[in-house]
Amino acid sequence: MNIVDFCKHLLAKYGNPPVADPETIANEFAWFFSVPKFVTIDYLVSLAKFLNIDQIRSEKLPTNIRGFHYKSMRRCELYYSKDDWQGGREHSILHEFYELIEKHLDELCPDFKIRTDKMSRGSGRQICSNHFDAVHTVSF
Amino acid sequence: MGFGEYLRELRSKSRLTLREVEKLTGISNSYLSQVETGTKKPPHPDVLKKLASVYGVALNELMAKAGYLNPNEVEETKELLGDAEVEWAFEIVTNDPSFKYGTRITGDVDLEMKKFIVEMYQKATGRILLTKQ
Repeated sequence: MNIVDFCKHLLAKYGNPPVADPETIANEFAWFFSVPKFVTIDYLVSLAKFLNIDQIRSEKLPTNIRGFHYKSMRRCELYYSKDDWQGGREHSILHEFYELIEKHLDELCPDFKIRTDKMSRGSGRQICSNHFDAVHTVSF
Repeated sequence: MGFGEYLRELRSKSRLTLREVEKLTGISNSYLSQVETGTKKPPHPDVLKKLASVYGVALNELMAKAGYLNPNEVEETKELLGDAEVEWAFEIVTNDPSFKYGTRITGDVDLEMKKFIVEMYQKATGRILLTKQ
């Protein structure tokens, strides 16, 4: 059970391309990976391996960056700011999780487009990610 | 080692054929072949700029090898080129389809952020884009 399985689940349930919005994806994510009501950093770090993330850690990041991930041919790494407050770090990790899910959906489904209503995929990604992490940290 | 040989070695390390370089840069493969064999003199800096991005080397290093700068000038221009180099390297990173990244940002994408992303790219791919570390 990993991020690819999760994306396939989304495509099977919501169509190809999927018509799910970030909030729906967040709820599906919680169900699929049995995310508890109150997430902790330790829990999110342990969840990272299911998202094919090779390394996740807190780092001193540039002033404007609270979270960062990259995915290359060889590795996938995720960083969150060690200077941020705990809730901020949780948001950052979930934010990056969401962006990774989008990337995997993109690879699996060329016509992929998150239902964002007024938000375009390019400019709306930050907003979509914020919606996704807010579902986990606020509205459960 | 002459400039042509140096250029051929860079291409060989990048595992690219002359035709592939032509496809990526728009520089004619026959012209590049002549530069590599020394039949033609080192290209104009504009051409070097395209090659630097494909071969993953710093432009001022390539300029020095081509004889446009002497080694002392390379050191001097490192500071001057610092910001421009980060912008140039960041453009390469954003155009590399094999490297995908995402950030949770507050505020604008500034130079510090671009440099961090380029450094992450260097770590992930082994390609060195910034001369001033």
